[in-house]
Amino acid sequence: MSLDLAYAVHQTLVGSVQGRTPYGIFIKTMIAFWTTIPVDHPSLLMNWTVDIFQPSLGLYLLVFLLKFPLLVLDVLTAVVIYRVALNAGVGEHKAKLAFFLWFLNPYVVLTNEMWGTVEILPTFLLVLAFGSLQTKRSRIWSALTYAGATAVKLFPFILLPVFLSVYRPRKKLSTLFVLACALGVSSYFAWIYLAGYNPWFQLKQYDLFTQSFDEYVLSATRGAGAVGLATIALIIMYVLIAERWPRDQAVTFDGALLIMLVFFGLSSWFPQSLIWLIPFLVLDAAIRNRSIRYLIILLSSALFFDIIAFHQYFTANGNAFFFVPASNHILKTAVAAYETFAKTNAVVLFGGPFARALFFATCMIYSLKIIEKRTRLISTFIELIKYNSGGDK
Amino acid sequence: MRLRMDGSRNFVALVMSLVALKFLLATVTPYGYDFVLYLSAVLADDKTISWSPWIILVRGIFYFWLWLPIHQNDILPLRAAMLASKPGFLMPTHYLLTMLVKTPLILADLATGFLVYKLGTNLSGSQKTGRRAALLWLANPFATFFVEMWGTIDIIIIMLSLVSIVYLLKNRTRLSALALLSAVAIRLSPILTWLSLTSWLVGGKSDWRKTLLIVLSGPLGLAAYLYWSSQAQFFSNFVSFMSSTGLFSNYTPVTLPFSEYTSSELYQLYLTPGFAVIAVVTYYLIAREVFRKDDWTLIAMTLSGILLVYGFADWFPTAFLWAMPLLAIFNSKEGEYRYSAGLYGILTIYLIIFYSLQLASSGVHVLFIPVNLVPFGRILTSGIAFANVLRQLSGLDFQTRSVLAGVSIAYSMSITWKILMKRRK
Repeated sequence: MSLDLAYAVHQTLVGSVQGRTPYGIFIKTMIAFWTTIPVDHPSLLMNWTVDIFQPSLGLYLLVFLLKFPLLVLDVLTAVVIYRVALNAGVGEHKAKLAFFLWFLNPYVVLTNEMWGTVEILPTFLLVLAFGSLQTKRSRIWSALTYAGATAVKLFPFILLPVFLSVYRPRKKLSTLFVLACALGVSSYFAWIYLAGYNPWFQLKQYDLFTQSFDEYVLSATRGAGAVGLATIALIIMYVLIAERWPRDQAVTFDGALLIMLVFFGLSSWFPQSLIWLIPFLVLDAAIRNRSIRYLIILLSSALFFDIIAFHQYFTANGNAFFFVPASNHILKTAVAAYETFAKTNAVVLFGGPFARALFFATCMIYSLKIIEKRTRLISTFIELIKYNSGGDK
Repeated sequence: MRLRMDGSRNFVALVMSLVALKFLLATVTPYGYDFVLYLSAVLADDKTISWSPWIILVRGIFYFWLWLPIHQNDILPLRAAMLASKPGFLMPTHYLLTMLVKTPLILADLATGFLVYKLGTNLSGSQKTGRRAALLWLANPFATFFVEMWGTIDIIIIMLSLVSIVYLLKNRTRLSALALLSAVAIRLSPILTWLSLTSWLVGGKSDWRKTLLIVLSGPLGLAAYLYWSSQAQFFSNFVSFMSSTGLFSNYTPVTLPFSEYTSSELYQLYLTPGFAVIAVVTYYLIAREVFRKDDWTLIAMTLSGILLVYGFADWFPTAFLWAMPLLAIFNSKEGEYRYSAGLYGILTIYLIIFYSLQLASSGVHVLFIPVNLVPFGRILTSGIAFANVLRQLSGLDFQTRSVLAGVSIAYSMSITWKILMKRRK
């Protein structure tokens, strides 16, 4: 009862916009292939929606077929992470550690294999794009994969300033990444439009291919108007990167991690979106010797507030336990216990906000550490304060 | 990009052309947003803002216009044109009145240009930089739009604030304090400049008596501002005036609306802390400790404080004029225009998205010029009004406002960093 997969299949079968996307065409193809396999073929519309699943061998086989590309991409991402870490010269041991930090990561398993998100595709392409710069491989390959990631899910366009700041003195390379971003953005809008999405309304509603984010806002004391903290912080980070970031393509990766930490720290998102950040966290731990506790705190706090805020999704409205159909007594008891836990006042009023605050604070501290390492900005500021305090006085 | 000004003759010719253009634009915009509000207040004998020094001046100019030996019976068509928004009733003498009322604004604009020139020259030691700064101000389309076309009186308080800074740097503190007091008394917003000047002076090597004069100019200006605004008819007495939030929430062209961003509403028992005040006060407290007390720092930290306020408070667009002369000085000296271009770019989008209804009114005006004087006026009105439809459909307003806030704050931080690094050198 993987939310995104069940939703995509249902929408494809009822002939909605989803069905006209490349993913919808893939689903139709796989269903056609499935009907040729000699297993039972129950009616999908009757037996499989986001909160109904009538277990049968045929249906489980179809689920496996549809999720197979997600599994492959998961493995490929792990392999790329391993290769990038190895090429960065951290040794076999750390490269393997990075591989397993991704591959056995419970958050990745929950969102990719269980939720059935398509986010793994742009994530894989992004890791390729930044990984190939990290290992000083082809920049054209990097630009192409970056364009591909943007074409699938649009959000990577927020990372363009990172490439631009690193390549600023070299106009041809800057132009290459601007063109890649433009190609990605225009391709995204082209296929979204051709599939029949309404660019003004549907792109802000929840869907597999749309962007459903909310920023934390500051509101005006009187009158209309508000400002989003994520947007403000991102612009400040762009200026910082443009002004102070080292002109070394090996550190574009750090810039991307910084931008994503700020973005995720100051906005709210659906759980599967966090999968974009995880390869960067893993690689940072492996390549830059960052303490693994940041990864653990970030993912465990995110997991905690996700399972509270999205309990209806994880239980398919009481019919599943983390998308596994509650077809026996044990699973039904587990669902009931989970729902009771997620609705407890102490958890909702204290636990969730505390976990979110912890996530935010960790993102900010992590960001400051990256900024300090790449720019020496904070230590210079402190040094200047010391210098100035002792100067004129 | 560097502006080339090789000779003073070219400079003077260019300035003269700009002055002529400013007069022309001021004259053909009788529907300037603020101009309509204060002229209507005079025509309707509205008492709510009648004690404003500016309204008193406009009333004087209006009576002078009536006294002139020209069509004496133009008052009724003027009322129809202004109060009932009927541009067809506008007569040539009404354009004369528009120009007369806006003349003090144009003079303040030119005086600001001169002060920018003086500051630019003195701070850089180069006349060329001074000329570049003056041109960056005088040829700034936003400055002309807000001052000559919109008709904002902010230009007067900006000029007085710059006078205050110039006199302070020349060590003529009494005149500086007087100019600052007048500016605060007229529209309160130079209280920001006062904060900057105070934090620059306090703890420095200046004579304490001179410092005290500047320190006192803020509260005295505030008292004068509160006095004249409390005389408004809608306040029954001073107590009800002080407890009213109307003074800061209702827009008039002569008072200061103020609405800063907060995290969320707290219980009414407590006041909700606003980020603009927190950010600016914190900034100046830190600046007082760490910045060098030189002339250039005063300009840069005043500019940074204003930019921070743009990020953390919601303003009527004329407030963006406050930073423009300082930006002109800063950019001319630093020779870098990237962030200014970004700020002005996003400001343009902000104006079109948020203020399309003010910029054009169907059947009345396009950018404050009566619609009958503008070729394809109705089509242009519809085009500008479409931005409002787009805003409602797409929710672009939130993102635009956020980007504007982000650019302002980032710019402020960038300037601060430059001051600090210069201090190190």
